[in-house]
Amino acid sequence: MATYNGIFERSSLGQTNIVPRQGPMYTSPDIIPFGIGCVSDPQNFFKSNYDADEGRPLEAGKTNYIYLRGKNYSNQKIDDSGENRPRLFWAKASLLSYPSTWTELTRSPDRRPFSLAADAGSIGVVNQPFIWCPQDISNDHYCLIAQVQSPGYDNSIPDTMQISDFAGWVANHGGIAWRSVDLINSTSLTITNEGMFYDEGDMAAVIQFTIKCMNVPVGTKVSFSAGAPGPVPAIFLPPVTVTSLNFITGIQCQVPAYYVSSIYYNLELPPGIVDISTATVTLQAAYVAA
Amino acid sequence: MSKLNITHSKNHLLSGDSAREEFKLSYEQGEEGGRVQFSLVCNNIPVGSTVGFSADKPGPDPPIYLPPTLVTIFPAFITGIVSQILANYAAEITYYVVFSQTPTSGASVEFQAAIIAQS
Repeated sequence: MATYNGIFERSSLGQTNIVPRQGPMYTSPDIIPFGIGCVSDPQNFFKSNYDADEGRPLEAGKTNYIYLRGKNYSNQKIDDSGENRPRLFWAKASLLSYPSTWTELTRSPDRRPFSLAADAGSIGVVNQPFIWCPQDISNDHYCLIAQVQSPGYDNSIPDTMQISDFAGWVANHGGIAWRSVDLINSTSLTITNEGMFYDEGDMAAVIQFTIKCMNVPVGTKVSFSAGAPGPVPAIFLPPVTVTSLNFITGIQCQVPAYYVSSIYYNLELPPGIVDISTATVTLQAAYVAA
Repeated sequence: MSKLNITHSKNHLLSGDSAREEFKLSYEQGEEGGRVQFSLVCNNIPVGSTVGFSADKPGPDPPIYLPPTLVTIFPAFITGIVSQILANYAAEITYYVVFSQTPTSGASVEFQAAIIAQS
């Protein structure tokens, strides 16, 4: 047993920085699948909820967000960025032992690199969530593997074809986390897309974000989200059911100056409907003219 | 970024004294036809409530009609339609809220008709 004096990733709640970790390794509460929603201030939210597992099911075929956090047990600030940025991979559980089959999640909401900084003794949260659109899966499940670097520790992923004792490898590396993903498979045609890359410019404002659905079948559920933190409330429209063929819906947010983010929308069609050749979907951001 | 040029709007504080609250707005398009966004901006209206609106005169394509639509977000939620309006169209638009529960103080609904312009 040894203490891990870096940014420590837990495999279960209540753990402190002792390696090898004990118990199941696949339940890290520091990898936080958050579904199609996002939060306005993830730094504050996930730090204040450190003693809780905030993980939620992900939804297949839609744009989902995943946060990452860790506690810095060293006596100095650790700022993971650039080559030392936090990294997150997904893998099928059946292929977890084969790192070459893992896929890194590289898409960020503001198209800038990921980073994670934590003062000595403090909790750090990734600067913005990772984006993932998982596909349906059957007879298997997805896993997420996180890698968080700390000075003096080697948390690199083995350059071998197979990690013979995957759980043992995770247990011995305080900067590696593993989480099995709870995924909701789609039950009808589901579409996700980047509807807009939003740029607020140099002036903060109250903005109406709306999604305009023309000829989208009644009964379709529409939602949208922008993962970059900052707006209040977060730019997140939970699923709303389309009630007419010329439908709009949305939210109003206070957006800070210089805010940028991709905004993704999700459509979940009613069961059995696959022809949407006449449908158009447009995201709109508008301020109210004085 | 777009600009929302609001041509008609009416805001109502909602007491929740009755399960359904209904309001009316006189709409006049003016001499120039065009595409208009009609929306209800809901503030502090309980999730599960229903909102909608309709006009008493035909003409717009599609008609100015929002079927009952569930409020799914608290505290601020927007819903509505976009319609092509002919010049000189005039109608009375009725809009309503059916509460799923008594709203907290500060609940309001605003009806907006707006032209979307690129700024």
